[in-house]
Amino acid sequence: MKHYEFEISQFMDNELPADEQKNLFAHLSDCGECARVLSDFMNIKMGIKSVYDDMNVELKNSFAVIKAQEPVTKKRNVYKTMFYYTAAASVLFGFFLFFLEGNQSALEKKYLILLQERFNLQNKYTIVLNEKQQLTEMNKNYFDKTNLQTVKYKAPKNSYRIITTEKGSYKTVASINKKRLPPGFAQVSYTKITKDDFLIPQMIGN
Amino acid sequence: MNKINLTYEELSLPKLYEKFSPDIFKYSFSILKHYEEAQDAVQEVFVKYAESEHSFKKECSQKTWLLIIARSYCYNKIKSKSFNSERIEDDAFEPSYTIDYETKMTIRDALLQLSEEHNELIYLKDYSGYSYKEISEITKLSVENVKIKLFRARMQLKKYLIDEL
Repeated sequence: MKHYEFEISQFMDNELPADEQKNLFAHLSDCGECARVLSDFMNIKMGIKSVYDDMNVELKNSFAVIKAQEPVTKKRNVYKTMFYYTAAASVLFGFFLFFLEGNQSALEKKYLILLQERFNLQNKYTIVLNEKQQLTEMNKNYFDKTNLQTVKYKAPKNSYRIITTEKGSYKTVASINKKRLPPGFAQVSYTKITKDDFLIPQMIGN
Repeated sequence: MNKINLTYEELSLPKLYEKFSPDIFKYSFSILKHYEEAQDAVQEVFVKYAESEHSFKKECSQKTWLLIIARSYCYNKIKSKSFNSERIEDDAFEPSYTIDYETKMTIRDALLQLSEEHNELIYLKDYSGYSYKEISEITKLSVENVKIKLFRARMQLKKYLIDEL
């Protein structure tokens, strides 16, 4: 004779289909062993309920303590905050790069302007140098061309006059007392003054 | 039998704790069979719930979700080496109930003799009153498997409590 222990288990759980329940009831009326199994299962179930109902539940912490220990919200907040800070930093960095690029071009422009100014100044300096050289040349030529060779000696009284001549006119440069001349020099009627006598003081002046 | 609230009702964490912490404790105890470990489990479960609250897809009730977390925690705990090495006989659990007829073994002792899985299924069905489908959701077993394992657990209990008289 087939026993219905498995079906009894399902019946106790309210999970046995209706048609099978009919078969089970029919069987239980005939089978004392299965009826005893049902009774045992019912008693055990009641016992289990009682065990868990009477269980002394003492929890270690109250919810407040658990909440205080709860790392989640903090963790999530940390990640959230990190995310926001990273986003903000990225945006700021983007702006920084943008402005830096702008500033760089401005600096480059300034540098180019200064470079141009430097070239201009160099050119001007070269021009000035050339002009100065030209002037020096002109000055040299001037002294070459001028007739500064003749010093005429005239001794109206007891003095010598040093005279420069230029294009036929006379100009007294200095007058020397005849008596102050060393012996022998009184015989000199004239002396030649070269251009170097004029250039040297001019150069020292420069 | 406990009334099962199948309609979804969202509760805040303090209210969840207040309402379900004893059930989580008992469920954890049914698996761990250790009073203090079950106490720790309750705390860990609610912390983990708070951690994973954002990933809760509301496909099941909050209590089911808590039980799933508790189950995961308890089985991980059992697998850990420290749990098995530190496990000692727990005298803190003192049931007041003994079966009517004289037995050498109380129901509490018999429950402790059951495997973790059988004990868990017995708790979910006979005490919490979950349906096979709900138990299947919590334990990730098929409905057929739940049915068979529950039957075996009952037979095992019957064997401990009645047949060995």
